[in-house]
Amino acid sequence: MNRQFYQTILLAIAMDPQKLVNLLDQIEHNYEPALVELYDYYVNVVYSVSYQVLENKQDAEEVTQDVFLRIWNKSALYNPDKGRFLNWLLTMTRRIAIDNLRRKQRVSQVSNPISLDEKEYLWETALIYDDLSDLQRMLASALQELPTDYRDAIQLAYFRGMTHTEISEHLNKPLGTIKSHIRQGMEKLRTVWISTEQT
Amino acid sequence: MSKMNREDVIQLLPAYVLDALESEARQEVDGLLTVDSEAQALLEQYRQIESVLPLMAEHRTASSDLRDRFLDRLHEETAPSDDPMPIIQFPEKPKRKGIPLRRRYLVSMVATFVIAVVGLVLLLTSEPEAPTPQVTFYEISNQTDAERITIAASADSVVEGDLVISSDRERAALRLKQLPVINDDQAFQLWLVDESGAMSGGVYPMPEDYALYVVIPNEKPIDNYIRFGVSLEPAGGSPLGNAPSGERVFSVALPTSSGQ
Repeated sequence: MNRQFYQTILLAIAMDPQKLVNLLDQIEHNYEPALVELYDYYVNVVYSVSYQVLENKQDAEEVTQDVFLRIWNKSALYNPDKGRFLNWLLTMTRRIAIDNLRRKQRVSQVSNPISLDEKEYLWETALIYDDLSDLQRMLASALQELPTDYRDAIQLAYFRGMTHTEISEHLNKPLGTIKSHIRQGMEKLRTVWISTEQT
Repeated sequence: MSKMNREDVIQLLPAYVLDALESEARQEVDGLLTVDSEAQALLEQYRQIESVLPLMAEHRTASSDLRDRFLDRLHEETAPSDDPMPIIQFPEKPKRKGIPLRRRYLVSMVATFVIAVVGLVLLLTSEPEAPTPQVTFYEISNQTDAERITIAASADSVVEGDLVISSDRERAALRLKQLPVINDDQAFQLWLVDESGAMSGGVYPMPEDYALYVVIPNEKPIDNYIRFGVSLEPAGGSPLGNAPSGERVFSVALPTSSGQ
């Protein structure tokens, strides 16, 4: 039986580009209400990614604050030439969260790895960045269709910052299997990328 | 010397993008990427894929009170540090004799109540603080139909500026950046120029922050003016009265009415 399920993955709607430019300009000039507006808009996506890494409310909240403080303190500077703001924001979030995780020397102790297949959520189909291209929509859909093993390995690498060896130990699977799962999972996504680019 | 052949290293690219490689393997990939353009192109493809991986995260909502805690932390971490205050030890007051404890308590309660009432009356009758020029600038800037004129630095002047005019044309504000550093006996003076000439819009000392914010006085409709300018003057303003005496540091022409 085909089990169709809808799952809430990250719902992130990109801000109007001109509004974003204005807000970032105001933040650069130490205008706090602009930071608050940016915070209100993006706090949940930042928190979601933080929580996905840390699996702990308090730590995820700390990282969420760290992210926006870095933006305010200009120790993290967004360069529009290097990609979308949302991508930049979530990449920074992930890195700070993983640093936090490593610092606290916390490795997921859950007996079962994260598996989206095991969670049925009756949501409207989630996704997606408002400005996601067709390419990214296809990739996001392909993510959902990856075999569980591939997706689990990729998630542990991406959200927990684990290396091949650490994933192998965590999942109690051979190292070669883990390498293969990550490679094949990402390769499947790349195949989608290529086929979408060519249409 | 690389221990792995090229194909083996290429196969590590997906894990490289995910930061899942051990140190030695990562160095192998780093080495290949410096010389292999095909590997670089492949890496870019995998980076595109990486950009959608956050979508695997489960959507969660942050606590409603997190914002307040964040702002508290922001203010705490950005507040100027206080000079350490000496701890002053007050001598113990001698205990009063003769006044019953209950009466003292009653007097304290009445005094507290009176102070609270007076404070409340003052609060309710006091005029709200006027917004700062910076707040005014951004309030206007954030209006949907506000007009914005940006003057970039040029060969003649390093000063950059933004003029914002409210959608109802009733208010305008100016932001100037990269102003020249001036002495305490100098100031920047705003000039409002219309067809009859120039009039002063105020004298402003060197801003402490990154930029100087000025609210254009609204004695006349904004559209009456043809230009705003800023000159460098003595601290008390131009000795010429209604004309600049010093170097012009900034100027912005207002758009003319349509058809001209």
